[in-house]
Amino acid sequence: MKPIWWWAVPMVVLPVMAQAAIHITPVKSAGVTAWLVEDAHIPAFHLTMTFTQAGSASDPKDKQGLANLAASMLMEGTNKRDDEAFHQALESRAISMDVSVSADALTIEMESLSEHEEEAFGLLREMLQQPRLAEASLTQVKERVAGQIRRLAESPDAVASQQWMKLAYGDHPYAQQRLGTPDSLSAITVADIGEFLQGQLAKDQVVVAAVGDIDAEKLKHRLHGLLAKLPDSQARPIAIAPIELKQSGSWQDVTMEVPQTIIHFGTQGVKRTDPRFYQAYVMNQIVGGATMTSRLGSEVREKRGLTYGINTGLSTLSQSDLWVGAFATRADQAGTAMKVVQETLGTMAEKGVTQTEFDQAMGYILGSFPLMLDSNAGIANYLIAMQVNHLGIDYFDKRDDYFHQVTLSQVNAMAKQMLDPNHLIVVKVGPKGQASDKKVP
Amino acid sequence: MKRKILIAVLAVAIAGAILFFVHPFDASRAPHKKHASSSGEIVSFHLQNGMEVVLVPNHRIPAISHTLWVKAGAADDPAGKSGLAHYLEHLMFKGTPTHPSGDYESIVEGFGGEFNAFTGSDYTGYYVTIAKEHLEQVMALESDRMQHLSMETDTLLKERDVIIEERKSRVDNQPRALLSEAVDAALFRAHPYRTPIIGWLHEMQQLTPDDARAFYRLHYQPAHMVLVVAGDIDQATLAPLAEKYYGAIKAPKVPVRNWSEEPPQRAERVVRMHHPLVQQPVWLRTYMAPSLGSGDNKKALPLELLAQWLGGGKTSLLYRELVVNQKIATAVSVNYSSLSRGPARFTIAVSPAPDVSGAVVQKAVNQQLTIVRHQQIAPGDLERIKTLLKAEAIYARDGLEPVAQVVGVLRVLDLDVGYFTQWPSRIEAVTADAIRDAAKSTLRPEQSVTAQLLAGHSKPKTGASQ
Repeated sequence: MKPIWWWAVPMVVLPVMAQAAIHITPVKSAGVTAWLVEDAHIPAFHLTMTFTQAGSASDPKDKQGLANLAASMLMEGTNKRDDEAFHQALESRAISMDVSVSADALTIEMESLSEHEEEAFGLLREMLQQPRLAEASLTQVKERVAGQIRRLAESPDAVASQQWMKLAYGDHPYAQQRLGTPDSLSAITVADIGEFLQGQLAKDQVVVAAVGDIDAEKLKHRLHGLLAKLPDSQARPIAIAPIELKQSGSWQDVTMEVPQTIIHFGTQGVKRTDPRFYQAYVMNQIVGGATMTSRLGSEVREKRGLTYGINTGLSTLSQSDLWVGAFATRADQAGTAMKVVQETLGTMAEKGVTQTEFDQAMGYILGSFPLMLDSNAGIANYLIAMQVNHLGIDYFDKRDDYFHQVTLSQVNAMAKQMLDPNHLIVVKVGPKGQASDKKVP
Repeated sequence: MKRKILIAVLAVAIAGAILFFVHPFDASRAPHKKHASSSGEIVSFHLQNGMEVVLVPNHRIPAISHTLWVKAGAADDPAGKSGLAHYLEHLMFKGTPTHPSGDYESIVEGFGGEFNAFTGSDYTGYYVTIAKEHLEQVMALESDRMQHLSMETDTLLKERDVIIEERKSRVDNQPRALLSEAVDAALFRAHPYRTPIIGWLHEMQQLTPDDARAFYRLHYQPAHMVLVVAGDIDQATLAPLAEKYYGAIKAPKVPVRNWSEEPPQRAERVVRMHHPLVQQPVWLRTYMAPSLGSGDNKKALPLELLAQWLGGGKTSLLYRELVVNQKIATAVSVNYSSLSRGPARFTIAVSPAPDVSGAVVQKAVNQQLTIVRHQQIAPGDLERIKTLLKAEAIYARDGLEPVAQVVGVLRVLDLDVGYFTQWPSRIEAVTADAIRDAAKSTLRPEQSVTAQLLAGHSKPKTGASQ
């Protein structure tokens, strides 16, 4: 009925949280404080470790894709076992591991039955401390990534997302290609990967969350084995410059012979640690959060049938904050559809929202939160987000209050500030030769 | 990280060796079946009008998920009206006299609820996850729209534009999805699975409000629905609510589902599609396979293990041979889902390395298929795969929705939930011989389609090359 929304813009979107009866225990080990939520609901646990400054924005310009390749190489065996033996060891205990990279961070996740806790941590330690880094594996991983790059080039949505980042960020590292380019991939050597893994994954920027059937004592012990040998700080310190988006607005048309046009739009957002973030969050829920009843859902989908779905969201990177939206629409009416978007935003900026809309959004924001805490992985991801954004270990208890303090007039002020259609950065990907009344009013 | 895979695997995998059909329309026959599960017992009962209710207790958070499954899907679309079941699914959000369009979303989201709906070939489903105190409100809304949909012509025509845009997003903008449509149309010659769930564009454009009204009246009957409620609630609370909101729905005749059956397949088929957007070609082989609802269902579980052996991750036969040893592919995958009413598909997909031809990939795949058809899986490999699959039943209990989904699919297909609750022991019972036999009887050229997605435009063949 409605699209399962995913953010085409590749970054961590921080969900907001409400109170829940969840007890977080800080567990100090090897100089790192991990957050633990013990829960024996099922005989299994989830561990997430995020290195907050080892993402693709930290890649050297001529070696874009380095962090992602390094992450993939972690899954290619250890000095003790080749890739096949390593994966056999995981599978024979039903342990799953995953390493992923965003613009800011490299994240390792592990899920294991509690009966295999010792082996799971043993394999994780092996992976982190003695990765195999075989030349043949690197060649193979590069081929796979090159295949992924080719696939993304087929997707108008991925193309729109990439172009949007380029238009918004220009030369800033946040415009870098997470997967790299064919040229940058070939420039990356085994030595580069080794240096990255040994030097860039440091104690001073790791955050850890464990949720499930594991106790504090065990976790402390296992984490020591895992983290003690990490360097205290990065060999090549990463300092990504803060960036604010230009408020002058810009528009780019990309030609791609597809039957449906994709439009991505966005502008400067609000910092996660800024108290006004909560105002912006409520504002976003009203303008583009709900499928059919949000301002944009109602105008573009419900009243005009111009799209299957239009959604917006706040995105918080460590050095940049965005408000972004996207939709797909008939190629011959893309201009009209975008005009409707601009007018809708303009109207909300100018006239504000109603009390009913405000109450409705608050109801959703306060009520939907506990639903997301029904699984180990769900809770672990929140614990990571809370640490990355310095929200405090008591955030679960305070979250409702933060929202209760938001007033209607604050939301209206936020709409006025953020939803100016003249500030929008827009990328449209679609067939050429279509009438396009694209000009921003 | 794993949950997505896990749900997919489970949705595919909760299959059993023995089929046991219950008769959901006869309450006296299958009144209260109970199945053990760690977070409480799965309970199933029937209302007076034949509607089945399944309770999946889970007390981790004070919430429930409420899913209404209807035994009507895209395979029930009348001839020439493909996409109708899915169209109606959209229209279910368009309001009733009591709750006009927009009410449903406002009320559910106002309470913090999450909702969506889905259409498959075999069924349509509507779900809400919400704090438990709002269950009754959700039931009132669902019951209302299952009986009193307004279906105003204007609204219906506008929503037709929306599903057409949905088709373009999901299919027309994606060469791989277009290939998959071509493969299904070649794999099934008579069975309705040959038609895409979303519909063919030219037929979607012709769907009328009357078509939707007729489908709604025919198929949305209480005896043709299964309600699954998962979460922090017990039977004593649930049963009276279910009776109040759903038990009073009148139960006219239950429609017969007349699907064309697939005749014996005798011809190996080849599909080749060129598309100018393609940069990474695809090589694909799909076999028509037994499912839990069709064909020799005893093969279903062995086929689950076979899929893992052949293409599950970096230890699998195809990955080792095509990606690591021969270096002719950059990725491989194998998919099999036994949870369907009609025949299943067993699909092997390969991303060929640059400049590697489909013929080279095909030869290498065929060699591996020969192995699984004739040789027994090594005991160590079998043991490992069993451990992996058995654990899925534990991981699936992490979260409200995975178990609710699996149980819902089983019941909407009239299959016993024992397939979930007894999953580990049934996996354990699969033998190496059973896997080989399932491979032998399923992986046969005459019930397969071999397909390629290639860059550029198709060119007419010249001379006598073909």
